[in-house]
Amino acid sequence: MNSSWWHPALLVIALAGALPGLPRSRPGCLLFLTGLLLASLGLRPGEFPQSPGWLVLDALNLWLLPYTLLLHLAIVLCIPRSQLTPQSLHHLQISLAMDLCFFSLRQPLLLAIFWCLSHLGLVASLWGSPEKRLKKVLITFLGGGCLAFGLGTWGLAQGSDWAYWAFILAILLRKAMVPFHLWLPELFEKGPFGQAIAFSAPQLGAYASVRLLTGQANQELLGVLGGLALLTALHGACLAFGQNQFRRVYAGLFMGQTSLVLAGLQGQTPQSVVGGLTLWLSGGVALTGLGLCVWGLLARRGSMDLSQFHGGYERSPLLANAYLVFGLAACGFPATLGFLGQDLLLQGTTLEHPHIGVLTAVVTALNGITILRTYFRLFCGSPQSYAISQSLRPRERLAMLLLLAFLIGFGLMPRALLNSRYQAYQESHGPSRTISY
Amino acid sequence: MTGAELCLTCALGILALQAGSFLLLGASILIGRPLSELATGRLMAWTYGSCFLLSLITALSFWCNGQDNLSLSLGEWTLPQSYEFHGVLRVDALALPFLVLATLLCGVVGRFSQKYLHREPGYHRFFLLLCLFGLGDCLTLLAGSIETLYVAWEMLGLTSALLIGFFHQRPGPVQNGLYTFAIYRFCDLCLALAAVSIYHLAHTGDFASFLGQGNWPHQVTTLTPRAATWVGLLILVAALGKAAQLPFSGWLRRAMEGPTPSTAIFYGALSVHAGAYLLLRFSPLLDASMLLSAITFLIGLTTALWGRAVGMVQNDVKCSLAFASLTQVGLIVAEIGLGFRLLPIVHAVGHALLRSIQFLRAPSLLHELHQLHRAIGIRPNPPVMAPGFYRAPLELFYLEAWLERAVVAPFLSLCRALRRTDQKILDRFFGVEPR
Repeated sequence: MNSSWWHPALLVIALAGALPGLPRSRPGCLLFLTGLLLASLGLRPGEFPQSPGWLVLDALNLWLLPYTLLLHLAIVLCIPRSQLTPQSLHHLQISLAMDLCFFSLRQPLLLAIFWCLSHLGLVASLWGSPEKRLKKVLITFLGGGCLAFGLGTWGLAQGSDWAYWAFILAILLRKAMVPFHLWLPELFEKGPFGQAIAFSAPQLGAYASVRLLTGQANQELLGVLGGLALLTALHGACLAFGQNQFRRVYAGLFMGQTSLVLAGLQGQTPQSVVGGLTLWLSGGVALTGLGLCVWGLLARRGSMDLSQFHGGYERSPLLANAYLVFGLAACGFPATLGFLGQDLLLQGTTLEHPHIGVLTAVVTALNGITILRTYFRLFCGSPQSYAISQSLRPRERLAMLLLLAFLIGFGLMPRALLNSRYQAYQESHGPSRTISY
Repeated sequence: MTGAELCLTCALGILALQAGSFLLLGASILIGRPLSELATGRLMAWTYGSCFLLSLITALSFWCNGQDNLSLSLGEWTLPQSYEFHGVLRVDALALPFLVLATLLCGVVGRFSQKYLHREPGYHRFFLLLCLFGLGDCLTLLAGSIETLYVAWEMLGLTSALLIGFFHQRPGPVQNGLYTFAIYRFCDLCLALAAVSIYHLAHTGDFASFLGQGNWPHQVTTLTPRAATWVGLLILVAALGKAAQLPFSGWLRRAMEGPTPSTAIFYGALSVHAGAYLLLRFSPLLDASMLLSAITFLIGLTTALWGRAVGMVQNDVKCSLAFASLTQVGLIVAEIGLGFRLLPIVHAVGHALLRSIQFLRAPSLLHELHQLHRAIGIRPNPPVMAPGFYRAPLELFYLEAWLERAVVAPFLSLCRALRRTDQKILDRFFGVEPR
């Protein structure tokens, strides 16, 4: 398929789907997303238009477009009926369109515009919400991130060195990294859960770091970012480990595992970078699957305190098993794609600094224990009686199956994905790499 | 087909059969239509019957083939000049006795469990996990590279924890499963680091490249003594965790919460000896490092004494057997530390067979003992111990209490402090939310 016109056409269709005033239902939205997903699988690398290179499709983002579509498709499949409104679907479509556009761009100014626009879906879903503190927290952190990105873009146009510091600040804020991580647990605890996953899982911060920092910023700056990413991973793992509030445990796990992506991307060895790029996809899919299980549980049982056992394995064995498999996949259990990503990351970081390798392994081990602890607390214990059916609905099964097929399929046959990630590494670290403003 | 090809095909067949059964059982559970008990039982009987037969053929063709090491590549994923993940199977004189033992015991325990777990709610879950365990154990034994070994090792750890928590309606087994998993994760972390270290030292994870060419146990490692000690120490920690050696012995008593068949196969036979197998597999590293051998010997001996003392005060048949098992495994580890190579294999295989039958008979042990006493007309007195000596073994010589106080509690406090600090910052700058 000729990407030179099909890629922009796909983006225009996604943007058109996000327009207000269209009739929206789950089947229609699913049809729309499935069509886009299938179309995105046929894309081939290229640029549009040829000379300015506004839209770019290379090894890095060739996989990011179907990945983002897959995540949104799974989220739409799993929206509980009690939370399904045309508005919620519209907000997800806005997020999707902005993420797809962001992942298709390379120019800093366009990236800055879509960086800001990518918050629209979340803002819209929180518009009428009574959670005043959450809004304040998000405006402070994410608004600060937009400001920093804008400043970085302006600084880059002026040719200033501090522009990269501004980009790093924006990425730290968007990826909820220590010391700017406080908004993420708050969002997952009090915000709309599905929208929170859709906002965080694609990891726009990681894309910005590859496009704007890799090969451009000096190594010290990247070292700072990598160090903070590792610290965040450890912090997130500790937060999840010592936490009894179910949503906050998920937030801690999310922070811990997604920070490893950035730690890998800032590495200096091919193993680290390819590991980071692989974990980006595997961690995103696994954490989305885990999040959908959490969302399904919250919709069926309400908020849960993990200091108690809640039982219910017999009533929802599929949900329990899916939770365990997604959780283990997120922590790099063998036979899943996450294992390869973790292995590459561990190899790369250990080669650079052995103590970083040890820390990476500790984070993974802690997260693995947290996953099993939460699994036992949520699904084991004396059977409880619930008014709502605990079993998974067919659409939810389909979503889990799609995500599991991705994780296990590429976990057992990773060659194509691994080659593409290596190619992305070569392109991003190649000698001819420049950023044009 | 040559003898070597037959040998490798059979070894691959053992893994494929177990993987196939696991997928079949898993798929039937996943679609919500689990097989009937009868069908599951037949599937298990066929699977492990065939696996045992294949392991015998593997062993026979190996001995007829001249007993040279055989390797089979399962595939590799590589990045140019930077990364290599090589799946390799290796059939040698060390793997085969354990392989025959593993397939035999999985089959026996599977057959026993069909009656023992009849109409239990977790019947299918048990066999699913048994298949995964069998696959993990056989892959551990046949692994020819550190990457393959690590994959298999992780499978063992997970299935072990899930089977300890098999009766998950009670909090006790579940908490004990988690405790065991946490110990395993810590020890597996060391194996992962050992794998990475080996890769950086030898630029490949294949055993032949860093443990030396030649047939086991006559290999000479290519690593320097210093590197061998470092990697060997990491491997030792991994082995100690699975073999429940000191200071990781606390989980063994907790593991008795699992169903008797899984206790028999895990903690009487296969899993608990996996640590000893790992040490034997990496014995060229022990040969290269006197320090490592001495540490291995001392830990094994201490664990044996500790296990004997603790086992004497247990008032539960499964716990008594578990600590008796620990004593023997401690002795096996000490033998490995002393430089014996064939003796530990004979000891481990004999012990695994005896202990698994003892575990399987444990539920009817009291009944049989009473019968025996009635038949011979005596009532033996229990062993008398000094009161001062009684409490310390009963408390596992305060090992768990010390771990709880020195490691777990401070770490949990740190995690909670981090959480409180985050909350305080939010409250300070964004206002306290009404709760």
